[in-house]
Amino acid sequence: MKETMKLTPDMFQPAEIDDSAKNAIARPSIGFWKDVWRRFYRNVGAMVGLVLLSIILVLTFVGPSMGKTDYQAQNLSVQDQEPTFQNMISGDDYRFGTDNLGRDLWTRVWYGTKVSLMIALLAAILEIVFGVTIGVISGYFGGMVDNILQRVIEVLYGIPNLIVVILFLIIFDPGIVPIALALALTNWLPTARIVRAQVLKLKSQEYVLAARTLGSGHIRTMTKHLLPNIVSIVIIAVMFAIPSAIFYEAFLSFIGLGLRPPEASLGVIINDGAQNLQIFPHELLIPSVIIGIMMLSFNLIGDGLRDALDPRMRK
Amino acid sequence: MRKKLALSLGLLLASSSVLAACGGGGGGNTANEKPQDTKTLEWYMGEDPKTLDYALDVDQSMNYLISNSMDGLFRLDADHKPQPAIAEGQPQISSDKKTYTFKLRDAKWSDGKPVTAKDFEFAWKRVVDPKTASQYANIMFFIENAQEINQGKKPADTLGVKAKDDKTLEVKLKNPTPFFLDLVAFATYLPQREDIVKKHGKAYGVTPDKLVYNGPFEISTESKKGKFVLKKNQNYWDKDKVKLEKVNLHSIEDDATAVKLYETGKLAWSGPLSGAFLTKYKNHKDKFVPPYASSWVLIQNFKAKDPNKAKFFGNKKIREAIDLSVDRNTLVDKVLRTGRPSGSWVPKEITVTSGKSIREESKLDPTKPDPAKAKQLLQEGLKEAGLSSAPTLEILVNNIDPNPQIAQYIKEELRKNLGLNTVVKSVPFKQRLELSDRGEFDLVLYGWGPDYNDPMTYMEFWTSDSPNNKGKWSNAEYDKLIEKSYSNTNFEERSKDLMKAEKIWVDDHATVPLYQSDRLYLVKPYVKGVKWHFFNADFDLKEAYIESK
Amino acid sequence: MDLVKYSVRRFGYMIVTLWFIITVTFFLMHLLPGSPLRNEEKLPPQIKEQILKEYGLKDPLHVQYFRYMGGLLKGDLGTSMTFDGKKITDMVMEGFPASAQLGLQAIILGCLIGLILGVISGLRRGSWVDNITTVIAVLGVSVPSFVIAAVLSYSLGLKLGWFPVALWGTFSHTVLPTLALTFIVIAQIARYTRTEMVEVLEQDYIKTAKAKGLARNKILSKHALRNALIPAVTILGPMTVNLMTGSMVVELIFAIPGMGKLFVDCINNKDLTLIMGTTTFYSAFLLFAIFIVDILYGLIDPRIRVAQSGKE
Repeated sequence: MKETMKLTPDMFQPAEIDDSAKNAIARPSIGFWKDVWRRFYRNVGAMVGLVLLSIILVLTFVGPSMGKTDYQAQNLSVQDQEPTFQNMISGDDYRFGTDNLGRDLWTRVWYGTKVSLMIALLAAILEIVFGVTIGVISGYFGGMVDNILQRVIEVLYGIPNLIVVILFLIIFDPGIVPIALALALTNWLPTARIVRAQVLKLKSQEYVLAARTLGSGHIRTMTKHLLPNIVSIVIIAVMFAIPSAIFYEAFLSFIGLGLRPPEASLGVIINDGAQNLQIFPHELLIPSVIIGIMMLSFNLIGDGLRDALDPRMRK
Repeated sequence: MRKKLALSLGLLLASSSVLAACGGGGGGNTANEKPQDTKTLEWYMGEDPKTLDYALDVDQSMNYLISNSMDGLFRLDADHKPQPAIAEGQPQISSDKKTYTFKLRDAKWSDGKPVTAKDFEFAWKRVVDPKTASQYANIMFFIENAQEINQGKKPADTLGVKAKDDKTLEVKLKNPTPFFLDLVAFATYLPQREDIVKKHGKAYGVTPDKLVYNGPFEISTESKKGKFVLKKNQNYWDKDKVKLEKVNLHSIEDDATAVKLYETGKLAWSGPLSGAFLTKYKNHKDKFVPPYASSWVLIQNFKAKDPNKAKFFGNKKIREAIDLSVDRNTLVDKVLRTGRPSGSWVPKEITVTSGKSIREESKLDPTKPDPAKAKQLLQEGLKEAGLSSAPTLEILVNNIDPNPQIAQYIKEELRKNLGLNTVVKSVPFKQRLELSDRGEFDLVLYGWGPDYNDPMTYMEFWTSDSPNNKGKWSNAEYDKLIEKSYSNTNFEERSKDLMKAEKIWVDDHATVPLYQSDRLYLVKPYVKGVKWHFFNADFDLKEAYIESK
Repeated sequence: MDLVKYSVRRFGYMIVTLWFIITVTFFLMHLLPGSPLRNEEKLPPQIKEQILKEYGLKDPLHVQYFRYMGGLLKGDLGTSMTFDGKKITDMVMEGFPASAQLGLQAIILGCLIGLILGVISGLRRGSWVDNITTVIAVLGVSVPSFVIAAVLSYSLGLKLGWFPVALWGTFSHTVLPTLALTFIVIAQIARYTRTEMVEVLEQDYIKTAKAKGLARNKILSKHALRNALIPAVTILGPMTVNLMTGSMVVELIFAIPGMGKLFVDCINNKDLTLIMGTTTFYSAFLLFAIFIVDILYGLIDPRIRVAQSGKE
């Protein structure tokens, strides 16, 4: 049987060439954020920070319910009890010991951490919103607007922070929101300066000029073209603003203007403990270590993000 | 009024036995070696004095300095009894007990000029003169016309004090005042030199060189911020009894710092200990407990702005419920770590006419907590007051330790035992004063130290028109008893009336008596001869010395 | 000539800003609720009037304002209301020497250590020096100063007895408080220097210098270091002012007669004149420091003089 090749007309149809397939990217594409994440992921320090911070975050939610009592219940028969390693693991007794009113330090510390973080986050957000808005406007418009805003910032800069914050807290009773507001009130100034500098640099670049030429309005240019390019700076600023807010809140407690007792924040707990440093060091050391770990994490993450977000750091 | 003499001390009760009572406890490395220089004492002082012009105000540090560098007509002895100082012997007292005539001894100011009766007349008139705006003018109100002058109703020269000649001072009192000699030992009653006051004008009393002194020491011009120096006054009339050449008073505002300095031998007196230090040094061999008079209460606002709260406190059953729900023993033992539970207003250090402690004559024991009864009373009280539920209350305190701790403890007791919701509001000292003056509080923690040794220093606190009566509690019978006691020449009966008034105050649950504070000091055993007082000034270094082997 | 013009202009700015600050705080202070008098309830109304008059608080606000400005021109910050009759200029000057000495010592020590750590860790990123520096830098900003101060005074002072635990007088008294203050300086300087060092080393001109065969040390000292120092100089101005005007916490714990507590005291006592006085002093000092830094900049970097509005 002779093999014959059967030729059919349909074999002679033009091949369908899919132009789009040519351009298909075989491997998944790596966008900016993915790239950032990849570089961040490779940064050991930053990852350590992220893990530590996650642990702390989880504990602020589950920690208080793992304690023996709630954060303000007093048991004066077990005042100033020192923690033991065994208790810390088993939780049979107060894991972190008790404070001078016989309250469970474990519950208080985690509850306080949550409060501190809330104050800090709120302060950081307010500060960024304010700082970025003023910074972008000032840098973008330049000229008279910039001049006026810069003078205003300089004036505000010259008034001692402490005086502004204390006055604010005397007029509005201290609570989470007023403290966050008071902190944001003084801390937006540096953010505004940094953002302005960045915008000054960016606005003379070609793509902004292109956008303007193509008819993009001021608002659109600012929000669509400038803002995305200062995101990295802003994220870093947040990372550093949070620890400094936690820190400042601790100082306010020291001078008696922090949260009202028996509310707890890390600052309040540290301040209570500082008075007993010579006698019951655990009351100071435990919250100090936690604040330290938290700050370390934020700073490591901040550093990591900065490296990851800055293309010049690309290896 | 902490700043007031809420910070005065008690007598050195059998100091030897106290000092001998060594025990375990912390503080092993105390440097107890004697100082090289046995003529110089290193001493504690709180914050720097605001002024040295004792006509204007008396704060704790200023009183430390002034009481040791000035001599009044009388000076307290080791048993807190006033003894003649610039006055030569006891005064002549008229039969109506309202006119005192003092003879003055030959004494000199530090610049060599003699101390005259004129200096007293000038000083007292200056204090009550409304132009001076003295914060302490009301302590002069026992003198004829003083109050009227201070309120601008009479001219300053009508004050009942007159220098008959250089050596004779005649004082006319408004009412017979059994404790008047205590008063003339107090800072506000000290003499002042007209020429010096006029010379420096507004700068008078701002720095030590702008004053002259007539007491055991003078405040040296070496004094500077943070460290005040007392130097022996070579012109003092009784200088032979003064053994120290120099006292350095260091401004220290942190208790932990004072303890550290004491431990390293840089201070011979630690000042009052607080917090956990009280536990740590409870059995230390250098510990010293001066019986101390200061009474602390929780004032309830009868005129609270919120009508529901006014109704709430207006009900006696509710007030009793609050009283029954606070466990004072735990408060004192655990929260304060010092002091005594209190069921009265006047502390036991105050004596009555019989010479005995008021608490021996009129026993008012601290309330025993009874949560079950308290709960029941609260329910009944709420019904009587026509309230469906208890309002959320605000406890106002200043932010100085241990007051926030006390407030937190009370908050917890009220929550646990009565189910009351409270909010603790801790604010700076001055803000608390303002808020309580304006009646913007529900409950406020208040302490009071005596200005002189008589129940009246406490009892006039709660009359309806007293500016100190922040809660506006008002009781006609109480007012009447106090009013009567002002002018009563029968001192026996007067004492009884005052005790009766206190009983009314307790029975009506006018405020919640909490505790009477005690103090714990560390004093180096080589320091001898210090007179510790529970009113007037905390201590007197006139005859103090450093023991040398 | 350029520099002179630049300096004069900056000085003018400084004066105008200072005037603004004083004016703003002046009017803000008088909007504060409550009475400035102590124990006002105790005082009969006519006496209250009299005291207010004495402090000039009864005059119309603009009269008070001009009187205050007039006083300032003569170097008079007014009279305190709580510290009876005390001149605020005297109060500031009493505390300033101690605070300033501590502040300066902390700045000098902190800059030295911070720069060394920053440069080394910038050069050897990822090395152990770098890691240690990161930890120090983070600890420096993450442990509250009152904890550092209390721990130092307890350990090196009380337990080991190397230095006095508190009080003021000799140089040895300044050691512990200086250490307590210097942590934050080390942390910040090290951090800024490191970041800047890393950035500068990536710049083309460094590569050029390397390519043309310049010695490593020369590259560092001539090209890298000088440029890496600029941001450190920027923060140095405000930081010096903040440290020299006293840290309330450190002064409290070491019982130092400085001026740090004035800033808290004046507000807690609601002492209007004192708040004004301390604010004015602080602002004038701060603006002057910034002015000096600006002039230094102008000297170092001629670009700044020209592109004035683009500085940061």
